[in-house]
Amino acid sequence: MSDIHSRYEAILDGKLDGYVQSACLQCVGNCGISVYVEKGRAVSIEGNLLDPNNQGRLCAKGQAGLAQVYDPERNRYPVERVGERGGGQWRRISWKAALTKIATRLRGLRLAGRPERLVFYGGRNMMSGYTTRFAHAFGTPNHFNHDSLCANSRTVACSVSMGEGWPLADYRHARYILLLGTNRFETNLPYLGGAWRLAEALENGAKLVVVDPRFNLTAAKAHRWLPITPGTDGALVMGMIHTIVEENLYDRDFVAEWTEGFPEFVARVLPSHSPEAMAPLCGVAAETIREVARDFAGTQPAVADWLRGVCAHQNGFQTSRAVLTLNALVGNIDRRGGLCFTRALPLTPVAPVPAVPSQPKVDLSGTPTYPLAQNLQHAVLPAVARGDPYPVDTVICYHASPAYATPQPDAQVAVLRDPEKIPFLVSIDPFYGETSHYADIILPEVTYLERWDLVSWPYGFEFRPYLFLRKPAVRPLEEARQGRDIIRDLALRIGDGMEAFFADDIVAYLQKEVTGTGADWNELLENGVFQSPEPRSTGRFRAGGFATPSGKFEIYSRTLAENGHAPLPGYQPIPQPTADIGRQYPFHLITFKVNVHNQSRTANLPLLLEIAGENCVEINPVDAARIGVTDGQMVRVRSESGAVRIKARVTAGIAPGVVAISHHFGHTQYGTVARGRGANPNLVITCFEDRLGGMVAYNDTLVTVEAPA
Amino acid sequence: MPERLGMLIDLKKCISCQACTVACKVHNKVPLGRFVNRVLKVGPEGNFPHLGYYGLPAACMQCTDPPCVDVCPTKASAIAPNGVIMIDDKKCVGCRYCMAACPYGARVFNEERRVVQKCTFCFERRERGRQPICVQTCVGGARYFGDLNDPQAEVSRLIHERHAENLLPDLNTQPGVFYCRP
Amino acid sequence: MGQPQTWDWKVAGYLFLAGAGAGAFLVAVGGNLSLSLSRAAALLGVCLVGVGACLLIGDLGIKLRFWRVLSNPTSSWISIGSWLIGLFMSSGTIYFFFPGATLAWVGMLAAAGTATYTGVLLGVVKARPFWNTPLLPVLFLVSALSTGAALITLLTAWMGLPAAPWLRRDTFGLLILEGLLVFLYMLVMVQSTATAARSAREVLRGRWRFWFWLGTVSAGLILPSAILTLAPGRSWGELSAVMVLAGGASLRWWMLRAGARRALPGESWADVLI
Repeated sequence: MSDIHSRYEAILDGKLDGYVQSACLQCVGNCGISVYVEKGRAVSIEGNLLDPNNQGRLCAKGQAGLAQVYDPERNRYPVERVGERGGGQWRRISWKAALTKIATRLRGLRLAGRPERLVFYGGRNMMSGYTTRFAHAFGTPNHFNHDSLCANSRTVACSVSMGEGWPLADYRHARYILLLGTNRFETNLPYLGGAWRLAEALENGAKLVVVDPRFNLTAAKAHRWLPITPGTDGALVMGMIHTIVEENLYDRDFVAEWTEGFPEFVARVLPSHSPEAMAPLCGVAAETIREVARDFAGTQPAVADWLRGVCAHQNGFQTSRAVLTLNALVGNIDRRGGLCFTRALPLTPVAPVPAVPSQPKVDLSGTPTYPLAQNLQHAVLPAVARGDPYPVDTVICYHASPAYATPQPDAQVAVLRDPEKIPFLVSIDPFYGETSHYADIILPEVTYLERWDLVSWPYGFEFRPYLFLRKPAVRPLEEARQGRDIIRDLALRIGDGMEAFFADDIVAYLQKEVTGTGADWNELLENGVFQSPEPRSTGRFRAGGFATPSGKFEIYSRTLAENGHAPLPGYQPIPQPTADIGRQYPFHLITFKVNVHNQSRTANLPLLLEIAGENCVEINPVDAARIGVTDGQMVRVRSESGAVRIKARVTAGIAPGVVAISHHFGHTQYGTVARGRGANPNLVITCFEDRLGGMVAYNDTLVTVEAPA
Repeated sequence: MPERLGMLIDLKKCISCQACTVACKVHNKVPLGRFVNRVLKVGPEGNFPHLGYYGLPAACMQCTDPPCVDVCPTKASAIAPNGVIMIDDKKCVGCRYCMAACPYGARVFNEERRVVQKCTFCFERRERGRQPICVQTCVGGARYFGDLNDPQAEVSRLIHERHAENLLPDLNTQPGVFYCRP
Repeated sequence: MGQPQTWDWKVAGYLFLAGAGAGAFLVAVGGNLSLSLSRAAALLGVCLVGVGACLLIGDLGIKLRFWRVLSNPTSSWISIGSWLIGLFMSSGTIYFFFPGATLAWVGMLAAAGTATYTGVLLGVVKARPFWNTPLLPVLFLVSALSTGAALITLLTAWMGLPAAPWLRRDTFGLLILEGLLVFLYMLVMVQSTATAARSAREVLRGRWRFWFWLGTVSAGLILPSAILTLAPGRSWGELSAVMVLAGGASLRWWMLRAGARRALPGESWADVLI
């Protein structure tokens, strides 16, 4: 054992006090962290100075993370359901008994030649390589993450337009920054790395324009805030494009050499998208659209970035394509100050690598229903309920909670609680959540400060490849085990050839993955990160073209045309409700996140709750006065899909006609600290979707706000 | 000249992320419900769509003429040679007169330790050669920390260049913490 | 993100007991009442101030370190006050056993100091404009004398002694003076800085209006003055004494609690209360 390794072991054993470099997972930003450990107990967290993304900084959520480890209501040992599913009655069982039970069941599926009847229902667990390995080794194609709840429309639009999934805006070098539906100073992926660079850009004189119906902390710092009508960002962007083209402000060289379909776009789409035509749709004056367009094109480098405020609509995919096109017109693809990419250092595949099973997936990805998108997580349980294309036997739920996170959660719960639909349901969870409540067996997982992960991180704002190593800062508490350990143990118990894929223990496996990346294991262990010496590269497409069918940035997409969809970007209105619905539900509900909470997994952290302890429905004073609602009053927010009781917050920071509810709250499980605070907006939101982008449209539901009589 | 530690907080750059609020509590073991450092939310103010909103990080101002030190009956509160106001835990009796006297609400009573607690510019971290945690973790890069008596120090230079001001200057406590307007 | 309360009822109770106890000594000894009454007043005063001191020590974070508060008598009014309390309690105790003119004078000086410094303690706090006025020590001294006189009235009755003829008249006079001071105090505060005016409004019309109007003004000033003027009976005098004590206690309570500091941008009223 190296000195570094023995020193680390000594810290874990409580024989030595010191810093453990690891990685945060309070959100999926994965900032580098340094955890100070005293006598084997983690006592403080700060940002790792060596991490290229956060460079020593850490947000409120990251700082509050210790309470995840030391939450007294954590799952401590495996339990098995007693009585009815969802009845909340449990019996403690041993790991051996629990794993044997699961392994026996799965082995049966495998021996019966029905491995596809296992669904691995995951989330952003930072070990999807490992869980996919398990699924594929087992023989099921049904391994899902949370993409359809996240930002799939953006990812898929990027893939279609330019062949790569997740560009980051190079805020630091941009001089003009247009943010659409992304509250960059409070959220986004990776939040912190982008937020501090955006702040730095502003200090250096960059102009910031924020497009959002809600006046958030990013809008507060903007030079211009455009409170747009929800779901009409595409109209604004198309109006801008119209101006840029009409006034010849675009990058002619880039457009001529590197884009596909510009002439058709100009001829067929643009004429109907003048600022005058778009203005009444999006609520932004035509002259403003022109001004912003001229500034955007005239202040180079400029970048337009967007996220859920744009893509969590039924038109999210096409709007994302329009935003991409706006960027491309000024030549800001993979250019300093534009939309850029970080090359991921490929981890070395650990032999043997299992083959990808050939059966169709239950989520209908790759079928005409969802021709382009993967991981239609919201559609998995409904498909399971239909038994189409085949029935499912076992669902393993890990790092995901359909019963909380999906709109119309009751529909998800109906499947979870029905043993006819899901005969066997396993939950791997550090906490007793809304979904584990319906499990047959709950396996206690560790928190992020007690586990190993090795990730080649492509979301670095230095745009240089790097790896990070998450490692335990403390030994697992009580009987909790890490996800990798559980998966591996399960594979070994199932046997039937699976053991060959899981011969290495966790550390040995990660060491094999590191070999050949240029990183040194001990250095990684000591520093938590490995920054490749490779310098930042821009314009990589100039060497080999874009990874699209045409090799260019596709304004016109043949893939879309072949699938029978509009091949050119344009403003596509979200489906209009009937007049009757519009009358009954006069407000457009949008959702947001606050800077001190993550989706659902921070509602148990007292240090964050004392800053933001519940959510409210935000409503404009004009609307509030009209319906007789006062600040702080309990109201009922109701849609066609459901209703919640929630406190009203009357604020000028929300556009009239729009109401907003943040996520994070409204837990019915997840411990006594988290329970009973605010409301879960998913109970009101209708599970609309954009099938091209493969994403849930969280921001398209119309509601009414009622003051109780 | 001896060192005089101080801070500049540029409110234009503060993004109200509350990272320093929580970091301060974790690193200085401040109990729940109390804030040695907090980011006050100012706004949103105004009428739609002409609104303003900014964050005001507020902790001990490290005054040159600190009312809290004057009123301390046990001399537990004192100005260290580097200008930082420190509380000697062994001398503090927890009478909280200093909390009444502080115009900035920067002192809190720590129920666990039964004494008053305040910002020390992270004394223990500085001993280990680290920055105060609020400075290191500041997402907006709004905090500048250093020696006010060194005219070459970034903090001194920026206080001058950006015309930084003190909070409640009329009380003439002469804080060592300066602010740039939002 | 407000901070929890700094000083609670224990401090207000101390302010009241120290005033009333020292006031009783001042009235009895200074008023040349009979020796037995003066000695009893000394004992009562020492006991009340002692109970007050216990409240104060009980309010400390670390009670066993209370002796440390004596260490800064040049700048902290808690230290100065502790010395004064110590002086009053020791001279009062000795006076009880060995009454004499010198001790009476020492005791009275210490008593006046004890009654007054509680006002100075709050009055020097620049951060809290509702307290930060020289009127406060004057008001607390007068209130100490009126509550002290009330205690002597009750003590006389309890001991079955004849009431001093001037006590009733002087109590009335003190109440009138105190009423004028309270009026002046609020007048000054309402006209003063925004924070002081807000504090005054919260006392007059807000959170402490019952303590102010029912406790201090009605029970503590108007009704006892009226009784003392209109109802000559002895038991009426005793009733008015009880009311004066209640009024004095209310005065300490609202005065303490309404002492807000100036809000920083973004701070709410609740954040800036003591």
